[in-house]
Amino acid sequence: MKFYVTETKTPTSNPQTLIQVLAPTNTRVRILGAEIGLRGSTPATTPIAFDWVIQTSAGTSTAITGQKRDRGCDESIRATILTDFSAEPTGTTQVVTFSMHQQAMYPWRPRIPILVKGGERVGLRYRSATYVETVLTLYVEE
Amino acid sequence: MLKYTLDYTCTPAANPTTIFQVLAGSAVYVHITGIDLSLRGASPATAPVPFDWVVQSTAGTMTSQTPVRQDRGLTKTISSTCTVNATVEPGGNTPTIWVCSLHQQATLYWRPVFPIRLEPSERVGLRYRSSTYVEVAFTIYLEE
Repeated sequence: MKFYVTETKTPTSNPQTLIQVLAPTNTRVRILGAEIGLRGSTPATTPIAFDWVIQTSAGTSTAITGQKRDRGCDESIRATILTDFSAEPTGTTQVVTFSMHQQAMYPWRPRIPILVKGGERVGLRYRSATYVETVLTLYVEE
Repeated sequence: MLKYTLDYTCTPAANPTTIFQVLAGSAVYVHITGIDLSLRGASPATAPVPFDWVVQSTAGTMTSQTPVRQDRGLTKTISSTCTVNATVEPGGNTPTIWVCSLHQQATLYWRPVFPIRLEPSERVGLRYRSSTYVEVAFTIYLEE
């Protein structure tokens, strides 16, 4: 099943996990890509770093619902999507890292999708003390 | 599979403004396979403009716009309906399928990993969500 996950968030700490994908038991999830937009207004500021990391806990967060690509399909999304982190998850093994200008939009298309094995957690972290609104959409498949 | 495009240029005057809506025909699925979208602002230090794709439940007040078939040699008629530049916003606006933002002097060449897929008779709209109003030129790529 293919689905979208959307989130708009202005981080308040460094680092801050913006979104975490928890694969259900015995099911693999692939993160196929994303669109990430930053809404800063200070062009001369150093770009903002992001990384995808393997995480080992949920931190303190809120579950949100993905949107199925096929809205007529009667099956449910099984992966858990967490956001709105007020306490960071544990785990720092980096899978992907990149940086973006604070007024840029990045259509991220990994050469190899991020594979989240059954029961595993992977999170996207914002790593800067310059806090600007981040608008993102993930493309996910399970 | 019928492929077609729709071009339009407008300057939104309200926040939000649905700049494009497609209503799928009653017996077809429609795929939105890409957008080219340019903003023509003049203030580099202004925060980028957010956009979203949302499912909508009504037409609002919008202008009909005829898409152009890629293969104009085909005789089959496009069964979906395209409208642009709402003066009264459509209703619904949930769920949100996709969000992003774009600097007001940038161009977005959006090729989604997987297309936005409309069920038969479903409406999906692209909304401009800023009170900084700059000219938007866009091309939507569709298939049904």
